[in-house]
Amino acid sequence: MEEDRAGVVATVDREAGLRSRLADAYVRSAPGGIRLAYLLTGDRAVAEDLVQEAFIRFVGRFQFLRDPDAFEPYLRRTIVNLSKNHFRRRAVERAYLEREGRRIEHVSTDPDVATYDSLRSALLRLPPRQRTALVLRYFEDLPDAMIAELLRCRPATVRSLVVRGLKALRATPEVIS
Amino acid sequence: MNDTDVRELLARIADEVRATPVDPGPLLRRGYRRMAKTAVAGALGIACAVVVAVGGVGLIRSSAPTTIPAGEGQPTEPPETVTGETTGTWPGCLDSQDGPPPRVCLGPLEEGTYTSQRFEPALTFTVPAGWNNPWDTRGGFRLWTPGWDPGTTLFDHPGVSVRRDPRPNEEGCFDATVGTSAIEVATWVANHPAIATKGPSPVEVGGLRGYQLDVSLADTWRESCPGAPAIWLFDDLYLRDPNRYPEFATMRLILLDLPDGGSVLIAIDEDRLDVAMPVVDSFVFDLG
Repeated sequence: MEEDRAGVVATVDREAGLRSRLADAYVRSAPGGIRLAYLLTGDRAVAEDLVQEAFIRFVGRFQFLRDPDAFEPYLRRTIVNLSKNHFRRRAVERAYLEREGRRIEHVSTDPDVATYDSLRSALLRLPPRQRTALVLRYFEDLPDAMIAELLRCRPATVRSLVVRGLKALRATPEVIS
Repeated sequence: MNDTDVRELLARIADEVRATPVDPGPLLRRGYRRMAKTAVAGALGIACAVVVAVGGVGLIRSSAPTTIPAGEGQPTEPPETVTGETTGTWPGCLDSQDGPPPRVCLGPLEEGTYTSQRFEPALTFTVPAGWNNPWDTRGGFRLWTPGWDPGTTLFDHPGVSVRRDPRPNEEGCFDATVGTSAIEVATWVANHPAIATKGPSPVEVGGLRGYQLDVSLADTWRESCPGAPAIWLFDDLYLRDPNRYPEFATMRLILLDLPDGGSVLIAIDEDRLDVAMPVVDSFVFDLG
């Protein structure tokens, strides 16, 4: 009984380390999260906001995780969900794409840069689910099953989204030429 | 355009953003603050639901035609003082929601020894006159200390709550990652950032062994979350703002291991410890 009590008392000390563990997890994982969110949204400020929001949501649950490494999968899942919510506001999305489209019109005349800008613009014009599927497969290197779980669809749907996304990218005039 | 081209494109786009995360300190504070707000909203939601439910039941009763069979309608006798086993349903019993009949409890109690009717494992206890048992389910059992009012809602009068397999509550959801043994639940309580704990200390009640903790809202938590009136603990048990509800601001938690796994929680509102602890000391669990 005394040993059990000592064990319980010892766990109280973990509280002191909890905040530093959270801070470490954030500093370690936030850069990758921001890059992922930026690819999904195309907006730097929104990307940073999404990652901060994901972290805030995570704070209340961190201490109950048996495996602290679960922070990154949690962060990824929350970013994907938050980006979906972000793009549900279609007016915001349309305004953004129009603004982005105008910006792309005035890019460099360097062929490489022009191609990159066209592709970048084409990627950001993809429907959010296609873009998310492409990013999760080719940037995060996730298997289709995991992407399907994140997008709440079947793996076959993921493959379809990826194929359609690639087709759209390949239809970019600079790629065709 | 092959897979490699797509990877390079994505990597190049991602490199456009210099990912320099902000100081996590303010984010941490926001996270804890949001957790507290969610808990408060959940508490208010439950409170509203209870008020609506109780009000609805009262309305139905007051509007329903009443037929009194011959030979009835006389004032009912108070529950008899019995030992070991009792039956009876008090009209003020709260719906147990775990099968017919819907409302089972002992109601107002005279001095004596009683046994719960639904709670598992069955609980035998001894009380002086004036106590009340308004709620008895397979997973929860409640005793009110003397001074209760018939219109009181379940957790608005101090008393003793007994729970089977208490589920730690976080942001209105049950945290499935915390085990159900006394040590695991006690550890969760001791680590809760919003709760100041005294203990845990070993204890034995009714033939079961476990841990006892006295809990209250942590001073640091009140400072970081001004006005936060409540922190959820288990299911519908929560700590309230000591400035507004001093009788519910501190609580004694007794967590006991059951021999077949799982645990039992006894929660006593600290304001009534002096009258409640003798009753808790009389608890005997029927372990078959």
